[in-house]
Amino acid sequence: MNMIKPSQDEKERAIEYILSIGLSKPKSLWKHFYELYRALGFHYLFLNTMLPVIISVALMIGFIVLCPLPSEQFKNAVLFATAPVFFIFVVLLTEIVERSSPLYELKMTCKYTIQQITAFRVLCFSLMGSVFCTLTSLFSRFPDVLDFFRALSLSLFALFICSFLSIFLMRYFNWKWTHFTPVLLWMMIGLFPIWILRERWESFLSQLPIVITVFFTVIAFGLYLMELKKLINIQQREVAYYVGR
Amino acid sequence: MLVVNHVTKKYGNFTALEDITIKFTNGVYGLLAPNGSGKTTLIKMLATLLFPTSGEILWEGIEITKLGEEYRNIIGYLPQDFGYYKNQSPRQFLHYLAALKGIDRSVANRKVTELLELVSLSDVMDKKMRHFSGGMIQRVGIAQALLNDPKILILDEPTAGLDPKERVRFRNLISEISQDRIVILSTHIVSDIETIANRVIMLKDHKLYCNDSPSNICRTLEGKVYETWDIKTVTQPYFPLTQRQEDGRTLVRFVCESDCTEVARPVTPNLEDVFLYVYRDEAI
Repeated sequence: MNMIKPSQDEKERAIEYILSIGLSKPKSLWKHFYELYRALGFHYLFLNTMLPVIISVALMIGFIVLCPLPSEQFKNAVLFATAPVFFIFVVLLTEIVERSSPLYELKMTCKYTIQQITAFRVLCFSLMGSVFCTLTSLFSRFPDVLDFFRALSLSLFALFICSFLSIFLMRYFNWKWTHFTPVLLWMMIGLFPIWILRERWESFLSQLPIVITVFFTVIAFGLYLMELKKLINIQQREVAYYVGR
Repeated sequence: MLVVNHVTKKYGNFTALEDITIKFTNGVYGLLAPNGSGKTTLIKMLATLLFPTSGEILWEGIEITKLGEEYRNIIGYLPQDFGYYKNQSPRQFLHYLAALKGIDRSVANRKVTELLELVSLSDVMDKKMRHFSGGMIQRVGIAQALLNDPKILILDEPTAGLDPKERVRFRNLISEISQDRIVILSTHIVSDIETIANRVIMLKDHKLYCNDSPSNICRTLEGKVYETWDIKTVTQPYFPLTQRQEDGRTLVRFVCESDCTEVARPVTPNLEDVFLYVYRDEAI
């Protein structure tokens, strides 16, 4: 067999490298986030994010208020479509702010890169999104507690599946405009079923057993955490913004 | 030791750098080449912003991309277009970057004050940077690059936009801080590195042209550089370098491969002569 074998020098270097790393346990996601928080604090972690947060909250409220569908008849479908709005837009806007920042390149050469900070922010934004999902489900005033939990789990599922796919796209594709793709994703997952299926979509969502909706929410949350861990651990990533400029 | 080992960088079909091999030890390295020759690509690869298409960059024998955070901890980087937050003061800005570099707060407090003194900005350390001149901003840039006391200091076109006085001040500063570290300074301004670089790296046609001391590089044109007040008397083929007006007459400095001592005065070549001669076919 024609196998490319490493030279003695390469072997020694690899052994040295393995020995230098030792048997230290790889950092967990929470350890990463704790270190980031200890080093930067909320002030630096969320520097220049106030405006994107305000705009995203306004967009979410605007979407609920201006939604052309009668909210009483389409409660589940509207909640499902609304759930990822805050997350998708806040991530998009903060990414735009970072990528257009004159400091982007410099920040990518620091110990804590903007990519790691983005991962921390994404976690916080998804937690905020969860709070908004709970509030919108509460304000929807479902007559039955089971209906409330179904709606809540559906909206959380929409949030986490969009978050998972958004991070996957951001991590996997190193395009200049990757951060815009989650908006398309939200349109496909949240809006298209309403436009195409209308009452049938609402009827489908409202008849789903709670066990199923909770199960899929847990799965989506697990996938989301796994993806977040991969995002914070990326090493081999070029600063796409600068390539080809 | 930082080693660039047979590195090639391609953007699609375009080759920005081809088979570059350089070893960096402590000292000041001047990366000298015209615009568009791949200087910034090389600098960005050293700063881990870009990765080689083939070849490897090693720090103490280990690939820098594998080192990740460990490597970023030992580099200081000043990009070509150094960005800053206009509403921040130098002190606030440096504290922010110190946090990003993972420097402990108490160490950062001391370091920020020290560095602002070093770059002569201690009197304006609490003023907003929006009113700062290009030179002052560049000095903030140098200070941020030194925050983590880097073993490798990478400066991309650090003197672009500086006036002559600030340029001299900058050179003195680099000489001052270049002890016990690798300083890689990319520029197309010859005078920036003529006095401070221990070694000059020249790129031509996206390949390494030379990597030598300034005196050795100048020696390549020894006996070939002349000056004359009357260029018309030179009959041999020559390449004009510079012209200087004096008392209504023009002193022409030129390179001639054959002996011109009868019609022109031989002079000691400098780095600018070599630069102009080597890149004579390229837009500078």
